[in-house]
Amino acid sequence: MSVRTEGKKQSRFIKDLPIHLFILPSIILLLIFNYMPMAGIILAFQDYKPRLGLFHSPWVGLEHFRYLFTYPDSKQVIWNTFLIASLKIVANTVIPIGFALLLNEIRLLVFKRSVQTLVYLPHFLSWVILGGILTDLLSNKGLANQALGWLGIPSIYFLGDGDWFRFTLIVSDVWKEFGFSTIVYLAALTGVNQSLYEAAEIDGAGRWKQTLNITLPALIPVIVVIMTLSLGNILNAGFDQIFNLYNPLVYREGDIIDTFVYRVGLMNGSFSFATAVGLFKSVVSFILIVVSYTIAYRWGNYRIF
Amino acid sequence: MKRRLTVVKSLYTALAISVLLAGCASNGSAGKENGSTANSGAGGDSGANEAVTITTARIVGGDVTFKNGEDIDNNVHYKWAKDELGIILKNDWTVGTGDAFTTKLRLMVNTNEKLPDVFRTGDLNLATQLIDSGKLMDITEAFEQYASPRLKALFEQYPQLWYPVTVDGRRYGLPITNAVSSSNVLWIRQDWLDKLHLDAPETMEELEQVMDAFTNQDPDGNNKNDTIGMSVSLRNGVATWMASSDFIFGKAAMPTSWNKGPDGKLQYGSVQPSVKEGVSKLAKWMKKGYLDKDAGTLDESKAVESFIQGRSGMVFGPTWMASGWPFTADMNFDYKAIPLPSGIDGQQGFMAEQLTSMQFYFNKDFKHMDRFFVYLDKIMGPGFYDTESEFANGWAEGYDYVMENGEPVYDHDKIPGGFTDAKKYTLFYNDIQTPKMELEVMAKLGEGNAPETSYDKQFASRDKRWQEGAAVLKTYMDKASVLNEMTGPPTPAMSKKSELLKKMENETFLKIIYGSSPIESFDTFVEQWKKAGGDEITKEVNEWYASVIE
Repeated sequence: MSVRTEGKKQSRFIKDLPIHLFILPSIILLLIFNYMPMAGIILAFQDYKPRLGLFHSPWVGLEHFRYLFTYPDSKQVIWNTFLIASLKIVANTVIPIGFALLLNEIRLLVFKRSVQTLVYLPHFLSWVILGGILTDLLSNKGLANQALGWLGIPSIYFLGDGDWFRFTLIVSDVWKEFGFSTIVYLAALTGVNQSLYEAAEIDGAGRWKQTLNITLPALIPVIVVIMTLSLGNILNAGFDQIFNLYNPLVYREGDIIDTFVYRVGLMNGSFSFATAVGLFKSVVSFILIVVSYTIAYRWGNYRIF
Repeated sequence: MKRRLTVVKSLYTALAISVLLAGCASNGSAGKENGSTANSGAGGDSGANEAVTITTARIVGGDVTFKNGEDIDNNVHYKWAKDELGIILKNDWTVGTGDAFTTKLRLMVNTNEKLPDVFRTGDLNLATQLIDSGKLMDITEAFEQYASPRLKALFEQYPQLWYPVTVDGRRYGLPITNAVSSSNVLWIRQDWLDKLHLDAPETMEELEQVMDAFTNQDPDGNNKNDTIGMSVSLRNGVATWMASSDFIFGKAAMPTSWNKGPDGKLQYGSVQPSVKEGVSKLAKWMKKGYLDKDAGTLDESKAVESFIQGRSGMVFGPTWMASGWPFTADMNFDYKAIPLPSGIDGQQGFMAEQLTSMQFYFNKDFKHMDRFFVYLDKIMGPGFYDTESEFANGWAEGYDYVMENGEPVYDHDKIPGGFTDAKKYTLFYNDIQTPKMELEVMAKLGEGNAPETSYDKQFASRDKRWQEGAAVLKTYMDKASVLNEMTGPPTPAMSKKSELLKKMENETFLKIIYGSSPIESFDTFVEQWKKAGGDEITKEVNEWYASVIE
């Protein structure tokens, strides 16, 4: 019996072989561009000299990692990255959910659609352009401070004062990205069974009660999945954004691992050290992704495999 | 079943075709390579007129344009070289960007691919790797033997040009000179000076008085306290390429620059005591509102905007600021260039443009250095402002100029088919300038002299303020230039530690200027700087300096 099914399976595999071959190019590309470069990780354990190449550079073991953790700035940099990224993750979850809920209450479809598109637009702007715009907008004589001036509040140096800098980073990031997440949540909202609302209405529940007892619980699996998956990004605080906005005044509060690696690795040509930092980041991210996948698996009913 | 067969068949056909195509491509390139090596290998000491091939590799960016169906392998300049000099210029390979170029060369260090005969780069890290790999030619003798007299004279005048390419007393590359003709002047609002009955400032005290008046006496007359004394950019430190504040530090010590100290050794400018005074001066100005409150977040071009918009009274920078960018024709007020006021030590001083930032390197198997130097001298004609040069009028008639009644005309509209920048086809991808020569010509025009030579005429169409700026700059350029003397590749300690030190420096300076740290933190910075690697770097820099200076 079992032998027969095995034989059947095999013959089917052979029969489908030409079709299977179609994915071969993608697999080859994946191997070449995603897996082969991983061999470059050995750079992190070498004192890499381009002239000696990957195979002849001297081995230094964990020297670069030791250097990373004794480097006077690294604690500060790791902490900044962690703090900025976590605040961004939280803000980028809470605000889009709130916004999606509000938008969901709107019955006028034209208005709903146009708002949805408008808040989505900043997502397409590059940080290089936004960096220039924000520098103007948030300068001491910029629009933001003029508005504060009318309210009688003294001007704030958003990009030059450390604590305000972090605040600015998070607010501007949310402003740029919340439209995108809003769409995800809106999509989840359309999936809620309408008969639940009808039943609730018959039971006498108002819109607030309906939101609290039907909509939010329906969203929880999506929220859990998105939140936990973004944990993998806990060490990505947004290079593009910070690189275009930071300056020496806010190094202490705004310098993150990526900007630090950029300055050390690319500007100074310390490839090995930069690789070591990158590897450290990847390992932390990998652990967090495994943990968060387990969480999503348990509570979000989320399955990849 | 039949259908599946057709799918498989067509797959095979596609595969076969692509294999065939790939075969063709590799055959073609292999043939080409063989040809070029055979050519350049033939005959060591070739006769003056015998045709020789010089191979190169180059960046062909978006700035290189063509006309008449030409391309980078076959164009008016390559044709000229072949017809006039018997030199066949051949491109081994071309790439689109400088990064790709460096990457490709870096890979070539590790492989056994043949380096081009001649190529240029400004990346000293890469050059050091190439020198270490033993693939580059030591040109010490070739230069003595074949370089033209005027080129030799140039290198005798500026012996420090050799330092970046010198290893153990031997020279492994040919540095290409920069124009060094535009840094730096102080741009000031003449109408504001007139309105407030002030003279152009010459000393630090006068400068402060003028800034105070510009800030507080409403020079733009709109009854609002909205003007500042000077536009500066502090985002990338106190010494930068435009809207800089480096002239404040005078000549005693220049931040970020390595200069000779009293003991004859190189010392790092940013940690010298006079810099502390300069930084505290900036702090004072920031407090009094002379500077833009946003200076710390503004990069160079953003910082200049306040001057362009008429909110600021001064900005320090190169004369070419009047070339159309960043200054524009819309600036409807009277501004001009004046000599920089003396700095904190009572002397005029500014961070000078480097003498060289690009070098030619040669494959060690390259046989025709004699012919290369002939070619180089020809294309350097305009750089020497040689009126006899065949490029005196321009690089190619019908490309960047046309002749009208025996006179060259540079009006782009008059060139049939439009302007095409033929100097981009040279082995240097540009014209080669020599230090201070452009300044001489521009200053002559700025002093009001009528244009005589073809070079004068080419520059005569430039903005009047640019020319006048050159005339101003010429009066003090030599005595006020502070040249960074560390021109070699980064030392080992520098590669490892300079990031930390630079961050520390910029943070300390900016926090003092913004008043969030006391001036005393400068002393702490100096101590930390020395301990965290500064002393080690200083030692290595001086070892390097001793090795090149002999």
